[in-house]
Amino acid sequence: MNGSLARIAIMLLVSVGLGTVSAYRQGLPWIADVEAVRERLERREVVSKREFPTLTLEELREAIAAGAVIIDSRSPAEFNSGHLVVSYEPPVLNIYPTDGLEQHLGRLNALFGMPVVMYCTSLDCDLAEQLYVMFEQFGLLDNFAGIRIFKPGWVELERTDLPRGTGPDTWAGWDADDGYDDMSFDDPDDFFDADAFEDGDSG
Amino acid sequence: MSAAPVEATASRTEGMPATTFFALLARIIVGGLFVATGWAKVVNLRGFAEEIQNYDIAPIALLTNAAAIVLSWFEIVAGLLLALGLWRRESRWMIGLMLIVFTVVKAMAMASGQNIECGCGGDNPLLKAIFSNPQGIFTNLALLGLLVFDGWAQNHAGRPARP
Repeated sequence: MNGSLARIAIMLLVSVGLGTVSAYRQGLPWIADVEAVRERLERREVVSKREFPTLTLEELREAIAAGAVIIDSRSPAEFNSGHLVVSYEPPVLNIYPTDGLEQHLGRLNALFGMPVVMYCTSLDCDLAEQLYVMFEQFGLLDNFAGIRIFKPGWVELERTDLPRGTGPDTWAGWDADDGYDDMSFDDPDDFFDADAFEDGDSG
Repeated sequence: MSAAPVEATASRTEGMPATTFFALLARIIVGGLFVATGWAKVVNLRGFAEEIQNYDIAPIALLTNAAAIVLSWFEIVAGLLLALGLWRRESRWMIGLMLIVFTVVKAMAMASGQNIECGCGGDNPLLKAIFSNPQGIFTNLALLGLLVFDGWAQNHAGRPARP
């Protein structure tokens, strides 16, 4: 029995050691933020009781063709391992509800007036809905030209011919000093008042 | 008087390799699945921590991250040991304990109507099909059965035939 306990202790120690490395790399603290957990569970409760605007795969293709803001609401680890890619700016953003919305407000403010599409992992995932509720709580819903959710999520997107990529979301937002030189859509007037900026042509 | 023991001994030793083979198969299936599910959790620890939090056991909310961090790797370590036949008894006990706990918690969640799976802990369709509620409970029970069989096989391996 002592030998068995020692072996089990070794198994646990190895798991703790390897887990420490994984947790550090993924930025997960050992002690959970109880307040954040409570808020998330309350958000899930809200999400479970209402409907959200959605779109089909075809409508998603149309939204991408029109330069919509695409937001991946999965965890950074899942996003880094694979996500949708678009050929314009802003690129697909990774906003994980559990990490909060405050850190993203700066770059979101610059995207007002644009249509938004959110997606999560699959039909079972409610992170996109949670993000929608957070947008609502921050008073952002009316600032965009519609926010819709692609419910089938990444599991479905992987099966399509839509471009995909890996790696983290590093987009810091529009650089105000350079104006909109990095814009890649053809007609800025579709989304912004071009007269408000000095350099409004696409690069 | 009973029949001569030679025939009985021969029939017993001929059956043993089959038992050993099926026990090996059982360990590979259970151990392999635990390595796969453990890895799915390790690559997205936050998602796994959220799934644990979704059970909403308030007093231990503080420990959910730690549980996710340790449990995910423990599944892999125990699964690997079991599949390789190393520390067989201990790895079988630990996997059996995890299966029992997972099954009880899943059953409680289903009974209370809680939507536990956020789908955020992994998108492997095969693993989801095997382990999601409600069929996940039966999968766990089947895996427990395989562990019991492996335990029986280990305890009866190499025993001499009875006269």
